[in-house]
Amino acid sequence: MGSTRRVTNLALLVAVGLSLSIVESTLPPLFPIPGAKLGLANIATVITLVLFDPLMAFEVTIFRTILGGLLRGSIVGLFLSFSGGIVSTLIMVLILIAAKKYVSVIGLSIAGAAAHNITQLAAAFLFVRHASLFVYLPYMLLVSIPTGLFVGFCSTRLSSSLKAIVEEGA
Amino acid sequence: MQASESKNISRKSKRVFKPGDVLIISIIIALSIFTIFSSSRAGKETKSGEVTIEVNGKTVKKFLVERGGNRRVFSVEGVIGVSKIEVKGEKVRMVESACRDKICVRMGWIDSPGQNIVCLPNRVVIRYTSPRKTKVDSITE
Repeated sequence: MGSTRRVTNLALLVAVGLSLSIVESTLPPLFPIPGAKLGLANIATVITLVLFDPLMAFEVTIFRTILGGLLRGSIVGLFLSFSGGIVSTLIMVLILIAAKKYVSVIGLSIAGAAAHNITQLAAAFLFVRHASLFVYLPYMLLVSIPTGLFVGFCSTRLSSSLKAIVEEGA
Repeated sequence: MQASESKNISRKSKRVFKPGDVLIISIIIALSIFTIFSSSRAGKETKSGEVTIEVNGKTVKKFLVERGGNRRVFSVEGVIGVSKIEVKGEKVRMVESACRDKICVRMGWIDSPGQNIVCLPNRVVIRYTSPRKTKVDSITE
């Protein structure tokens, strides 16, 4: 893949992630748990992982979380989504390398969602410094199953449609 | 050509699940059940409790509540604004908060030791614990 094409694809995927996270921030919270959200922006990372390479998935995650945090104007939020995004991408990459044959995109995104939630809670602990925060942990983990399912399903459909375009250009 | 391509895509998306997915989901469920049991061992038979209100990690208010106690409302200055807390009998709740998403308000009432209301944006934590032991262990008649 030529470097111009790579930069263009990267920019497009970051734009997808950013717009999804802004669309999501306008939706009311789905669950009565702080920090629990659908994680639509993770679709960008997951489709990058499926269509391109792990390195690019990391780049997409780093850019979309930093830019998204700056757009929303919250430094704490930036830190939380950045750490969550990095760890969840790392987990997804590791699973993809270790067991690509046995895990689908949906399983991948569920694992990513769970990793994101655990990391976010641990990062929030650095700010609040209160053990009672971990009371949320089981609920955050359970919530990551339906949200991961949804994101994984969207990513499956999206990447199967985008595959033709990506391969055509390569 | 176009038709065969779209057929190919739809066939692919039919088999979306793979065996590893079930393993991932069951690991997450097992983990959450484990953490539920390890974190909620607080007794629930007491009808009174001690409420600690913390802002940014520092305790700003500490008081006892018990069933039948008077209703009162007071305000606590958080990091981004004022949080209004209501006490009614042995129950406590967040009435108003300066935060954006109002998750703390939506938590509703808490009434047993081990429960907490946490408002992350405002850094306000309401902890509900068992009342502190008095100097007397027990009284017999």
